[in-house]
Parts: sequence; C-alpha cells; structure tokens
Amino acid sequence: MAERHEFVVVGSGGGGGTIAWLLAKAGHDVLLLEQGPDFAGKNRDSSKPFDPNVHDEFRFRLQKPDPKRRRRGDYNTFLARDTDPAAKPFNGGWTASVLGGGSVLWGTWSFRALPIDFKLKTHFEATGQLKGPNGLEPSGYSVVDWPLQYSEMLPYFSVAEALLGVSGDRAALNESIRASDWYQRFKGESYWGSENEWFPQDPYPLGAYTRTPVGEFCFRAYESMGPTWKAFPTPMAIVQPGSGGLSTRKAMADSLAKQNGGLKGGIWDLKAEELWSDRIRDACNMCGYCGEYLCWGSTGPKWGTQDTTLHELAQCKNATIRTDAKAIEVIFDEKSKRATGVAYLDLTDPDDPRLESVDADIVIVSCGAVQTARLLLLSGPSAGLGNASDQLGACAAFHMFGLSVRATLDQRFQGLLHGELGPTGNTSTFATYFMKDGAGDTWIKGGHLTSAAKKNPLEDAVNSVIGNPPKIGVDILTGMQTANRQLEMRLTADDLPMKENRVTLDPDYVDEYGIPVARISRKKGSNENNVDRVGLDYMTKVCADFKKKGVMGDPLQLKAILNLVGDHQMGTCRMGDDPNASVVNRFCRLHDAENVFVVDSSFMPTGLGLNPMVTTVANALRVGTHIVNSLRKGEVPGRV
Amino acid sequence: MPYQIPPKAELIVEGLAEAVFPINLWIGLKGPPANDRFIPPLTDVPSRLSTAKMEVAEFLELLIDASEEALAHRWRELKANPTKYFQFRSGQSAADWRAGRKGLNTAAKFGAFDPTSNNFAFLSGTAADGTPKDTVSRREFYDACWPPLIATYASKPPNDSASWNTFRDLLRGDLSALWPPTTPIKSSAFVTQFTIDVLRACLSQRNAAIKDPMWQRAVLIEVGENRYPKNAYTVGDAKAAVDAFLKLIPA
Repeated sequence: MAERHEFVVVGSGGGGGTIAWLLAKAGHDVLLLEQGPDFAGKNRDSSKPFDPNVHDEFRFRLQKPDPKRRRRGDYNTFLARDTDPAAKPFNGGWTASVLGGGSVLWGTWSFRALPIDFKLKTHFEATGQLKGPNGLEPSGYSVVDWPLQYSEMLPYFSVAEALLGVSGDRAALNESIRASDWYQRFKGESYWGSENEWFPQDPYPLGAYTRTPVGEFCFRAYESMGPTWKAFPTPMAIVQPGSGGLSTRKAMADSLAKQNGGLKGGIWDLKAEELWSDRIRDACNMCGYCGEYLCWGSTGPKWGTQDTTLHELAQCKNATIRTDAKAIEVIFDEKSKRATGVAYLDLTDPDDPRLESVDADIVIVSCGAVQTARLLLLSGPSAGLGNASDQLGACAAFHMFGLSVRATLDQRFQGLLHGELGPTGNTSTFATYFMKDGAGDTWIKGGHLTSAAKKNPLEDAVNSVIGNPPKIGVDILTGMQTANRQLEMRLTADDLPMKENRVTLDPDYVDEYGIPVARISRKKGSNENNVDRVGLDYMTKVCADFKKKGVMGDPLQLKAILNLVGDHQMGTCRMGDDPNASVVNRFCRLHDAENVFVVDSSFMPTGLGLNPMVTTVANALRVGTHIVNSLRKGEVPGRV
Repeated sequence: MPYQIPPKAELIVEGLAEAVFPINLWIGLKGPPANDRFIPPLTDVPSRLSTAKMEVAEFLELLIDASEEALAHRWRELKANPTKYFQFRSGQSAADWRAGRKGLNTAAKFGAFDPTSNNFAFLSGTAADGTPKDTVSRREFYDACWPPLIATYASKPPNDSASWNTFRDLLRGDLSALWPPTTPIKSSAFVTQFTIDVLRACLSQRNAAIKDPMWQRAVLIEVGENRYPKNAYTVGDAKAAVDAFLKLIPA
C-alpha cells in the first residue's frame, strides 16, 4: 500500500518550511520533501552552541561541485537572449539545495514589500510610462498589479517578522521612506496606499543590529545627500548582538496581540505555548561568516527554517521531514484534474537513486522559482502542469545583482574598516526605491541601497589570479591589502518582468539522473539599462562628499551582471485572477489543478526592490491560513 | 597509496610557490602589521613567514588525494550516455518519455562536466588555440604537468629570487621550449592553477599540513584580515572600531 499523507510539501525553505509548520500545527498530516541533505546536521556539531567547523571559506564559497547550492550532477543552463546563439550549462540559478533551502544561505535583509510593489501597473499607467512609443508594454514588459490588497498581507508581515526575529529600527526605516523625493512626489496619488500600510508602527521584535565602520561610512555618505536621504539600520533576521537572545514564542505572541483580531481562527486561536516551544535563539556573536555560510549557532542566531521552523516541525508527531528526496513529478490524474501525489528520487546514496512515490490529498510546491517551474514542466500534460495558458515559467525576475559601486579608501584607513564584523549588510536607505531619470518628471523603479562589507579574502585573492589582468606575486598580496579597505554600496534593484525572460525545460541537457534541467533565458531590457545608468549615477554622487574630503578616489562602477541569477528568484508562476494570463490564483493554487499550490517567491506577479524572503514567508502564512480555515469550514481550499 | 609529488618536482614546487606568492619578500616591503585589538599580540604572531613554511607541497599532495576521481569517472560515463540512470514512474525509456514531452529534442546531453559550465572542481585542459577542451581531474592535471615542469627546470635551474621569477614568467607566458605543445595542459594554465592551490594552502585556514593554528591565520593577519574559525566579537568591539574609524574622517 502506497504511503499517503494529507499534505506533501516539496521544498523546505521560507515558503515550504513555513506552510508545513502551519499545517502541522493545525493538526494536519504533513510530509515535507527536501531534495538536499541535512547539510547543517552533517557539517555542524549541534551539541555545541557554536561550532566553528562551518567557518570554512573554501567549502562555502569556492568548492565545486558546490555542495550546498545544488545536488551533485544537477545544474541549469543559461541563455542571454538576443546575444547567445545557444544556451550553455552554467553554475548559477540556484538558491540552495539543503534542508532549509534558500532560507539557510542568505544575507537576512528583512524588508516587507512596499505598498507600491502591489500596484506597479496602475502606477506606470498614471505616470504615462506603461504605453506610448517608448513605454514599458511596447518594450516587451508585462507589468501587472497584484490581485491582492496590501492590507490583506499586513497581519502576515507582522507574524513573519516575529518568526524571523527581525532586528531593526522601524521608525528610522519609515522616516527614510517618508523623507525620500519619490515618496513626496507620489504620496497624493489615489492608488498610493494608506499611511497605515506605508508606515507600520509596531517595532521589530529586536532592536537594530550594531553599526559597523562600513555601516558608518554609508550612513554618512547617504546623509551627505541632504534631507531627502535618510539612512537606517538594515533590518536583519539575526538575533541582535548583546540582546540576550530571542524567544520566538514571545515575539509571535506580541505580534498576535497587536493585531486587534486581524488574525482569527485556525492556528491563530492556539495559545502561544501551543504554537512554539520555549527555545531561545542565541544572540549573534558577530563572527562575520554570514550570507552563503551556515550560521555556526545551533539555535539559529541567523534565521533559517532549518534551525527554527523545521526544528518546531520536527517536534510534531503528525509531520515527517524527509531529506535527500528529489521530487521529479507531481503525479496528475487527467480525468479528475487533480494531483494524486509526488514521485521523487531517494538520493540517500547518490550513486544508487531509488524511485519512490507518495500519495497526497494536496500537493504544495515550494522549490524556488526556477526549480518549481522545472518540476511543474516535468509533470502532468505534455506542456507541463499548470501550463494550459503557456504562462508557466514566464516573467522570471532575479533582481539586478552586481549593480553597485566599490569604494577604495585612502591608505590611512588600512585595517580600520573591519569587514569581519557581523553580516555583510549593515546600513540602508530607501532614497533610491524610485530614481529620477533626467531633469523631467520621469522616475524609474530601483530598490533600496545597502552597505556591503568585503568578506572573503581567499575568494578575492583567487579571483585576482584569474582576473583581468591576472595578478601574480607581490601584486596578489598588495591587492589583498587594498581589498581590506574596500567596501561596496549595492542597489537591490528591481528588474521588471518580461514574458520571454523565462524558465523552460532545456531541450537537450539533462542532469545526472537523465531528467531535463531548467533553462533560464534572460536579457536586460530598456528599463534595466536605464536602472544601470541612473543607479550608478546616484551611487557615484553618494560617494562625492567622501571623495571631496580625500577619503577615497572615484568609486568603481559595476553594472548588474546578467547571469548572476539565483538568490532572489521571483515570477515563473505568476499569481492572477485571469487563468489566461497567470499560473496560480490569489490563493496560490494552480488554475489548472484543484489541489496543487505554489508558495515560494514564484507567485510574485512583479518583483520587489528588496529581498523577497519576508514577503514569501508572509504569503505562505496567508495561504496556509486560508487552507486550514477552508478545510475547517468543509470548503475546498483554493477556490475563489 | 597516498599521492606523492615526484621527488624532482617537490623542490620546484617549493621555489615556485614563493615566486607566485612571495610572502617573505612582501613582508619585508610592508613591515609588520599594525597593532590592533582584534588580532593577537604581535609577539605571538609568526614574524618571519615564508611560503615554504606553509607546507605547500604536502598540502598539494593531500589535495590531490582528496580529488573526486570516482565522480569524474561517473560523469565521463554520463557524457557518453546521458540518460543511463534515467527512471520515471511511467516506466518509459528516456527516449519515449522525451518524445512525449513538449519541446524536448530526441538526444540528451549531460552538461555538468562541460569545461565551460564551471560545475566541477577538476581543471580544464586547453586546446592549442587556448579554448577549454576537456575536463580532467586534479590528479590528471598535475600528473600531466610534472614531466615538462621538471624538464624546464633542469634546463636552467633558478637559484635566487630573480631567477625564480624569470622561471615563473617563462611558464606563465607559455615560452618554455621544453613544455611540448602536445602536453594537454599549457604551462600558463599550470601556473594559474598552482597559484590558486598555493593560495588555498596559505589562506584557507584548512591546511592540514600546518599544525600550529596561529600559522593557519598568519598570512591573513599580515594583510589585515581578522576572520578566523572561532572568532566572535561584541557590540563594544564594533563601537570601538567605529570610533577609531571616525577619528580619521574629516569633519
């Protein structure tokens, strides 16, 4: 007899891990499949509060095949549209393939989507940028409004911030938005959203992360631009150093208490002690191995589902977590138009994969926007499950990674930047969320600007050896010394969706197990070229005051890198009301299958100018709440 | 049997390591590291480093021993037969299954072992025109390089810093007449990979050939990098660092 569960969730990151926990807490029988191994469990001694074994720059930055990003023998191909004659295998396009998924390996910049992110089509229509000869639509863009009201997400944003244990300064962040030129320009528009939506008043669960010298530099650089540029501590899903730790139970209770009944029913009626254990997350010890590294604290000082949400899930008797289980098909019954389960390869021994399947009442897919599209394209009808309208995989967005300026400080600052202190990011501004292009009234969508410390001396040195021109001898060492007094400012800029920027199955290439890999096709359109140009101009101006004071020379300008994709995957399963123009409905259920949901960041109809994790977790809470409440009422979840 | 660099190559490895990453020379040029609250007292830091003391040859042997020869074998097999391990619930052959899916071509390719894919640690050989030709294992890479390296060295053995640099640049420029064009790896590709492995020996802090943990950190301390396994800092440390930084910022 086949193994059967009420819910099979594929993927254990911010979306999948969160909804699996919520469903299990509501009493449902849940199986969570993760294609990767329990990487932390294998590499870290969890009996130690902090295990330095994971302080390993080679393993986390340079090793190939990359043991954390992808399964051995799996890869994607990349096609630079309008440039490359053919797609090539490459090493990008992944978040992570370990228990906890992309939530384990990230910089923890924890922002809510802004209200305008839900209304971009309306906004660009109002400004005249959508249509017309050089408009976004004639230029190939597909900009839409989200089918949700921002107010529907608000209670879930608050709970998501509690789950993540965000440290930050809400008032300073709000002020950065309010003071900005773009906010002042557009705040009176009818579609703009309410004060309550733009400026939540509840503080973050923890106070702001300590400022570092790199953060101090950027704080002063931003504020040198005048009163419309306000800096604030980057909100981070890291337990504030020196705070004495975080009780997630208390943070959630505080969030729910402030909701004034905004969340009711289902699991939200449970007592705090029923929702979460009394486990305390240790405070961050500022070791500086963040981003792509595992946090060395076993209680999750840096948030990832692996050490927090999945730790709670593992305590539920009605939940099973299965690692090394690579889903290759959502099993679909054409007659009933329903999924009946999931087939997966048991890769416990990667040399001897075993094909397994499990039956399910409801399947929830959350593999990241690239791998979710791949799994659905491998499933169901010939063209893929959920692809009746040919929208599956379309409108992929990845942010404009690499768009930054690099400042090299004068030699007097040798040894004073201390990039090793804490995580990569530290200090941000929202002054760049929209950027004025030229002297007129044209504003283009950008993103937040954040300081970035140099972190990886071995990787930097290796890159200098293979760089242009390649370094050798004393030049490598002097280059390392120079890198020690360098910092960057990074613009997390939005790339607007184009239908042909999409994920498909590669027609030729297969992985180690003969399964077609995902092909990512992408190009920069006119909007992205404008964001490169205007963004670099903005960032260069930000450095002007320090240049004038002799602290630094001209900053190095770095445009976004087209194939630097993976960490912020969005789109590919667009959410919308129209089945002909979207893949999932407002409850993130496939239009084409009544019992298949998608809860990673692939649901996003347009990207954000900020890290999508908080929005992904909040959305998973929203969808999970809907499913639980529907089932309790005897209704079919996902029906609009 | 543990890998052993040919004895004649071992001496060359030590001299060449100093030429590609001349720690001793550089320390002489720059002087001692600035004292700092984040590093140990300078009396505890090895003051006279040299690349030779970083046990590069032994590290390289350990690295080659750890190479994934078995995986290279399996992936070569997949390059020849990409769907060898295919299985799907329908029970169809790979060809039949592919024929039933929209947009797939009949023939499949395995791309993770492509030299340009950057998915494999093993190193690319190069064709005569310099383009990557094949993917090889680290052991295969170095084994192909030892004979021409030894021959080039023997023709005019370097005996001081300047002549080691000349030797290095000869290899880097593919100018050795004793490095035959038929060798699968060009001498310039050898120097690049060798330099990267030397950096790993000196900077990764995971060089098992070095026993003293302070020596694992020593080069990084010299370049002002304070990250090391077990490190941890406090809010007070960060505040002190900001204060020191601000002292040099003009009003």
